Amino acid sequence: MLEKDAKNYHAWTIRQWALKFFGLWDNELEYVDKLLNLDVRNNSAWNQRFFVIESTTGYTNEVLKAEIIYTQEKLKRGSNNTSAWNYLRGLAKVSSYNELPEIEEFCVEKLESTWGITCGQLYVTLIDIYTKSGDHEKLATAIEYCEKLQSGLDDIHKKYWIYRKTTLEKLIA
Amino acid sequence: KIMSETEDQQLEGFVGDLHRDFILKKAIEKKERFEYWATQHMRVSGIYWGMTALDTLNHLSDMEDLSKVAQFVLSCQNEDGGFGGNVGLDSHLLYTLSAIQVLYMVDGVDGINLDGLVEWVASLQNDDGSFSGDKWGETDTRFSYCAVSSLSLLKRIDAINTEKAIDFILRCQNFDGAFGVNPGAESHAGQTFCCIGTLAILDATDQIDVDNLGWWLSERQVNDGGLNGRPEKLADVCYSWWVLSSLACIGKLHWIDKQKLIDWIHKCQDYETGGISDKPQNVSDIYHTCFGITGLSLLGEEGFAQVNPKYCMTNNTLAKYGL
Repeated sequence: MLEKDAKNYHAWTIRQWALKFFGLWDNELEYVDKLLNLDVRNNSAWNQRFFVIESTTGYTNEVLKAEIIYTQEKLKRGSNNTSAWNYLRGLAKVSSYNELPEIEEFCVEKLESTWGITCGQLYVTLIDIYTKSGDHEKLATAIEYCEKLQSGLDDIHKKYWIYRKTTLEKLIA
Repeated sequence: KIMSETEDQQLEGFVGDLHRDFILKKAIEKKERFEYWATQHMRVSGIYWGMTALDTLNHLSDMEDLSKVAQFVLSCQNEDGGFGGNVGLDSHLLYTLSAIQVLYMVDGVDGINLDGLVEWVASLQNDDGSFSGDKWGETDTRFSYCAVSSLSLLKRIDAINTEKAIDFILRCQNFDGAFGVNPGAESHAGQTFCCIGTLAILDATDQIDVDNLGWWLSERQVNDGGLNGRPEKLADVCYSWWVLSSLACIGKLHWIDKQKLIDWIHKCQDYETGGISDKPQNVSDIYHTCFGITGLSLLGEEGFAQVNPKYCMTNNTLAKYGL
């Protein structure tokens, strides 16, 4: 079923149930990898990655570091991939940006590239990192990035970024 | 249906009368049509979609023989207390909710075998708080919503363990703030509506991070103005309901670019036959007509009846039984 429609929600539901029920975890991450090689924007596959790791090894420090590298490699194939960025931010939720400084390093490095002009999700992620840092200077930069998103890079979500900016301003005040 | 670019540009605005005619035609659909038989197992839901659309357009009174509709729907209640999608079909929570919603609109609620229904719904709750859709056991957050909404509409919510129901919903929340069909499942706007609707009816939306969820929901709006159901997927009119109602329930409806969405939904109308389709230029159907119209109501389109985001029913109809 998933061969014909790799994002079929119902098929994934059944697959997850079967994996849990029969304990068939062994090759699943490989299968997810195969799907992401075919379509790096397959949100279902990214979610499945999370599901498999949580249900097997768990997100140990070693696994987290490996997953960051994995995600970064996939982002190089297409920077505006919401699913991949969501997954990267999700890794920081399991742990924290402090414990995983390579995420911030990666983002800051990419600012200097064309991603700094074209990749809205890069700024979304930096805003997330800086909001959680509590550092006043970083919060001020996050406010600038909200303005950048609301004024062109992500103007369809303008109203959200205006709200987000207001919230950040209150933190600095 | 092919339209040239210039024709497309000339047709603007909402063509409510065409949609009303489209729905009324469906109501007396000839049995020779393939679509009639392909959807016969969910007839009760089809009636709900059509009538809700009419109700929102303030045209419910254009439907004839509402008592016949009541009679038909009531005849779908089975001995086990639940409703099937059509006469003689097995009971399922999906059709049970649709049945109650239709009966509200046609003043037929008093005809329900109430105790039977309540007992049957309560029997479908599992130990972990989830609900199975029917006796075969499949769990799905949609079924939590159907159970909770059904009992809430009938004022018998006390029949289930609401704390456990909330508990299960919370376990279906993912790291991105949205919800899936079961714990661990991919976040999906339709499932998210079912979870948020359940929490809203049970007055428990304060138990989630609404800012996080609100961002995931508003991120569903793509550049052409439409809403999708998950990241990296195409926009579809039905998400105008699933996403907007969720945002309304958590007080973040203003995070959407309303005008762009209204314009996009308008483009999904069929200006010849009436009805609304999932995407511009596709064939229209009752389901997308319903959710396109209820979505436009939430967006404040003029002349529409107010729709309640928790129940996807008009406030006028809900008021009939004091809700």
